[in-house]
Amino acid sequence: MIPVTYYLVLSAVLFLVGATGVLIRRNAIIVLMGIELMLNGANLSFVAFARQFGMADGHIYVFLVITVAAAEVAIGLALVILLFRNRGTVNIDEVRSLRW
Amino acid sequence: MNTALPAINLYAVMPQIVLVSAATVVLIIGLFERFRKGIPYLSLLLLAVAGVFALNQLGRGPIAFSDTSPMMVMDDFSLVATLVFIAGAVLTVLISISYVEARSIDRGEYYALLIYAVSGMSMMAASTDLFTFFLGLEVLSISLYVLIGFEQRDAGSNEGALKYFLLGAFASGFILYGMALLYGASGSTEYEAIARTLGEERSDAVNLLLLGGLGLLLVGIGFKISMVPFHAWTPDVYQGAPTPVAAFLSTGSKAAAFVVLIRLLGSVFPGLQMEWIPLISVLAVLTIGVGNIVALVQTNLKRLLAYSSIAHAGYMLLPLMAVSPDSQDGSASIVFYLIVYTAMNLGAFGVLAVLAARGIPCATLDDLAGLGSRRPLVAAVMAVVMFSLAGIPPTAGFMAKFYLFSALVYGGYVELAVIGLLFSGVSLYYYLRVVVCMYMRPAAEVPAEPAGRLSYSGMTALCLSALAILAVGVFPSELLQLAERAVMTLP
Repeated sequence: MIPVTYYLVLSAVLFLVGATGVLIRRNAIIVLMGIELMLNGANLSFVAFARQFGMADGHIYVFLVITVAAAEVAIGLALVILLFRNRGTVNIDEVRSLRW
Repeated sequence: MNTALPAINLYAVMPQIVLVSAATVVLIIGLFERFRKGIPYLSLLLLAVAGVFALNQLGRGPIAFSDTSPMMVMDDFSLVATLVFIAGAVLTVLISISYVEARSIDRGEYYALLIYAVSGMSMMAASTDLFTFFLGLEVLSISLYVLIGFEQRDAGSNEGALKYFLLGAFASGFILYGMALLYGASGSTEYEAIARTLGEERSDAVNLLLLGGLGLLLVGIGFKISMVPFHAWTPDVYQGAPTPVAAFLSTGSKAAAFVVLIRLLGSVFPGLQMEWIPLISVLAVLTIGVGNIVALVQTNLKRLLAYSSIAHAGYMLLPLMAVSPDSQDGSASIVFYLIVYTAMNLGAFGVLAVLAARGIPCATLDDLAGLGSRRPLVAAVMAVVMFSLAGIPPTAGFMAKFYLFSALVYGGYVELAVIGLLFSGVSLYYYLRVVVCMYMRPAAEVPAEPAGRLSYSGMTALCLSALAILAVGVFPSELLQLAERAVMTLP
């Protein structure tokens, strides 16, 4: 059996790749993908821990998180579409009319 | 495997059920064009029902959702918090009515989403499990993403919504990963189980998971309360959002995150105090400093209020350090401050919303010149609110700061209280500048001001918050007792 540590390392890597994506990519859709990677990294740890403890609650949490993530993406894509209609770009560096 | 269903007590989540049903009713009725005018009043009525229910339950002792795994609890703490959220939502609805009509965004969803957001906040306040906290937070955040972007054709509203969405979802990712680590450390996401793990002897690996989990949670919650260095979104979002939504965002969602923070740091993580106290004290001082100093140079009123709200978040972080199992004074002073802060900030943003609804320019400080003679009542409300935000007696803001700093001093953090007071003195400059602008500066060349009365509903909200601020400033003891009773039920 593969030890739980491997899963945890993989989930940490997923989380970090996602977080790095959010910080360095400028396309709103790719930033959104980075956020999804972060959430799925967390999901993987939940499943790995649940398997280690032999309990079902970790698995149930993952289902809830998937639902929440779907709702979030629905809103996020709608906002990106609105932005594209209003400005013709999805690059978040060009979206900076609000500054001091 | 045990497949028996646990005994659950639906009564414990009744406040949340009432709120979610209210929002759904508003959403459905809002679909009918001919009821459009009545929707805000229906929302007020339903919020009042939820409020009366919560008020009725006060003092009846905690009721847990289930004995085996509580998930949510109805205690005085969550009920008082829910009442504050409902009061904030009522004021927000009142200042919204004329504003959304003027911007022709008066659709039923607006009010429905507002009430869904309140139900999410109430869920956060009642949660005794990280997962219910997360779900409440998401219900709140997703409603807010839509509300901020509600002015679909307005580029600023759009931009604010996207910024809040990307950073909010980023923060949710941190919170979720932190929860996964805490789950790994204690085998459960319940607050009690985590506190139990902290009380036991633990291996290095478990310790690492606990510390990492707490750190990530603090990053995520820090985004929500706009703690430095996670505050950068605040001014942009407040400026872009429709003004009543900015009012709601700066009070309700911040209050909800603070309520969770009180529960988490006060009763779950005292075992890690050695680690988080230095961290939070440094960040709180930075938050106060950055908020107050950057606010000095702001000329846009919404951005000024945004930096002021960052500074206030910093003040409210301070007494968290003074919370210990044998003294809840720190938590009580935060709850008191939150209540007062809700009235103050809704009043300040409310003035801007009510003026904007009649097309009176009020974006920058210069726009307010001569407001004292043009619109005496609104200017008086704004003056009361500004004095209160600055902490000048006899307003509620003074009492709130007084209790907050005295809790800090009794907790033994005199240096922090001194730093907080010094910056609070700095803040006098920009709050009083608004008052000076309204009363001392003549309205130079006032462009032909749109005539007409300001909306009754908006003025009602403004007068209510100004009266509340003065009343609490003179007779604070009732409200303080309420705040103390709320935190008494905390373990």
